[in-house]
Amino acid sequence: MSRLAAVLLLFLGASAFAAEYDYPYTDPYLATVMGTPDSVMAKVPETIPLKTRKLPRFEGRQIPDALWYGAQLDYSYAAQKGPAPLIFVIAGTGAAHNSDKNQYLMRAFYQAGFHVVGITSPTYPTFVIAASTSMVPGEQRDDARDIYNVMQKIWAEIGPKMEVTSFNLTGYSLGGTNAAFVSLLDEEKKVFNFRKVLLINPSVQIYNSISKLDRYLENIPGGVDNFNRMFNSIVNQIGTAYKKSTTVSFSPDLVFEAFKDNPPSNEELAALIGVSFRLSSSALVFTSDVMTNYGFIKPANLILTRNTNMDDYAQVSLRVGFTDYFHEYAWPYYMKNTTAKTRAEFAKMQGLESIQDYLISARKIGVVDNRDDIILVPGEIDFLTNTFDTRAKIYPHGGHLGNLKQRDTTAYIVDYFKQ
Amino acid sequence: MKRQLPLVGLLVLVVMTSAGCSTAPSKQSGQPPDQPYYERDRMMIDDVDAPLEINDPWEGFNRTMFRFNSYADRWVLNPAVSVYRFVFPGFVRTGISNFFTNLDNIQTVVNEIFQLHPGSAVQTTGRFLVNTTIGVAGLWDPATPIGLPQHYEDFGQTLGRWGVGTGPYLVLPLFGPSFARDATGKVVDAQIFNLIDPLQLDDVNERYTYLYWTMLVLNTRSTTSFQYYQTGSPFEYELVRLLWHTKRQLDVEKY
Repeated sequence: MSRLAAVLLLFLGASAFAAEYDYPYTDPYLATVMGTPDSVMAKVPETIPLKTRKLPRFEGRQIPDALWYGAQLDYSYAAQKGPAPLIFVIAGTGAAHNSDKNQYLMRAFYQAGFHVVGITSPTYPTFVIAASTSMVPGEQRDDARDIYNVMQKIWAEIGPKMEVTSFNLTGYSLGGTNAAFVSLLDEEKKVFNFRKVLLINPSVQIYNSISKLDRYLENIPGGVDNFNRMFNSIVNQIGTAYKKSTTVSFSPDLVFEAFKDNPPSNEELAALIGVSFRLSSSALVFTSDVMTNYGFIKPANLILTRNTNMDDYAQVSLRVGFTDYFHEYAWPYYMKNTTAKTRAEFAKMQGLESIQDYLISARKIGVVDNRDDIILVPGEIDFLTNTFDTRAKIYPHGGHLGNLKQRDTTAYIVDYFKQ
Repeated sequence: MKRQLPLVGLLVLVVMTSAGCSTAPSKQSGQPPDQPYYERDRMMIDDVDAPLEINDPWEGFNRTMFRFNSYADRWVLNPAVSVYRFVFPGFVRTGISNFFTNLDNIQTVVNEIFQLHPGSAVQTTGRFLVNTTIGVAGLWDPATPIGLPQHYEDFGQTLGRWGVGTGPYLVLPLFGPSFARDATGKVVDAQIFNLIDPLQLDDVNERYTYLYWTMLVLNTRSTTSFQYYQTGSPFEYELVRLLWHTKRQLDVEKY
């Protein structure tokens, strides 16, 4: 008996001293796909009184018939009963205001006493259709202006419904990068005067991140020409889990179930990440092309109707990467309206390095990231620690947002705004 | 009680809303289409498996129906579900959902017999008996904890089990994605249900029939998480079609 007590004491003592970061996946690809397991997940309420609303249609906005469903931009918010600080949360690449991660952050902040507002990424098709000035997202200063405009429109709608003590801003992934540029714009416009800003796993240099994401598709067994086979096998892999599961519903969780039972090899994980981003980019590229009528994928002299067969456009869009979009669509579009003289200079402008002086001086901005984040290239974590110094929190592992819901990570993110 | 929707009214609606169902784009000037930067022929090798390719000869009609269903959701079903969720607390809604799930077991067991899966049929029968008696008309589900899992089988799956392909993709008004085979199956399932007529509501009071239908529709929509145009993708129609095709293939394989 006493021996058992001694062992227990030893165990307790050991765990008390082990203040190590408790996140199980040291492989960054596995972390990115699997996320946070229940055992180390932060305690965040399942639901909060989150309301989804549509912004009024922007005045004078022309919407092509085929994209009719995107005429109005959605947002979500949850208001505290009394006076409280407000946090805007910007979603990541190709994600909407109510994406899983955006909702998670809103739930965590709301629980801690903040008003919360979810903002759709400027790379999400509906944002391109309803709210983007250029209709060609990616240029950070233009996107920041569009986001800032959307924030003001939302504030005009919800302002009367809540008492706000201060405005704050955050965003994950590309949304983190957006947040930095929006904060810079706010210094000039001073509509919100953000008190605190936190960049969560931001892209440091957009071009580096999109090149990496495109290259993950090279991990498709047999090469990129087997994209279709890979795509089909993912759909079937979802199916295998479905066949084994005891429930009969076909829910998105099955994707994760598929990998929990049967974790694929590293190469396939990377390819899977590449394909999931490709699904986002295909939607963005085609939507933008229809909006600008540039003739990138859709012939410029064709007008799509609501019933037009889009199979071929879908197939082609799935084969166009972010870097193709940058080089052969965005740069030709912007070269007439940018101060950048070369393509390389233009690419450089789309990164945090281009506003480093501001980021060093702005004490209100901080960053959370992982040393093994798969959207960063070597040296970019050093850039973050050099720039943000004590305002940078870098975890040893977690991939790209894999550890977002881990209890220490979530606590750090929430506490950042409480201080 | 008849388990049939007022089909005639729906058909009239369908015809009215699906006028002008061509799937061809319109051209600005009668000229041949310009060559886009990324042309299909330049990007694709024709001998590789193409995802998203599902037999869909009625696409014009289907796309119109897809849109019609999204309107029905936005203006009728979703607001109704909000009221439903406001009026009935969670545990009551669970009971209602259990009730309809239990009722579905009649259709499931018939099809399990048609598919020659006696083990499953015995399980489903046991489940139905336990939940109908101990579970008070199916409002509670004591069968799951004692190891009798819920199956779902329909006549579409039975046809699939005996080698009938899905046939063309078909988006049904209000019901959503289906295939020619499965839509036929739905009619057969409804006939079987009418033949057995387990509730005998018509004999009691016709009003119960309306109540039954209202609750069935509210429960079905409330327990279906899909919302239109939330993927943001301009290819949502294609993605839903692909996923539904995969789901039905797996439904047939699973028993």
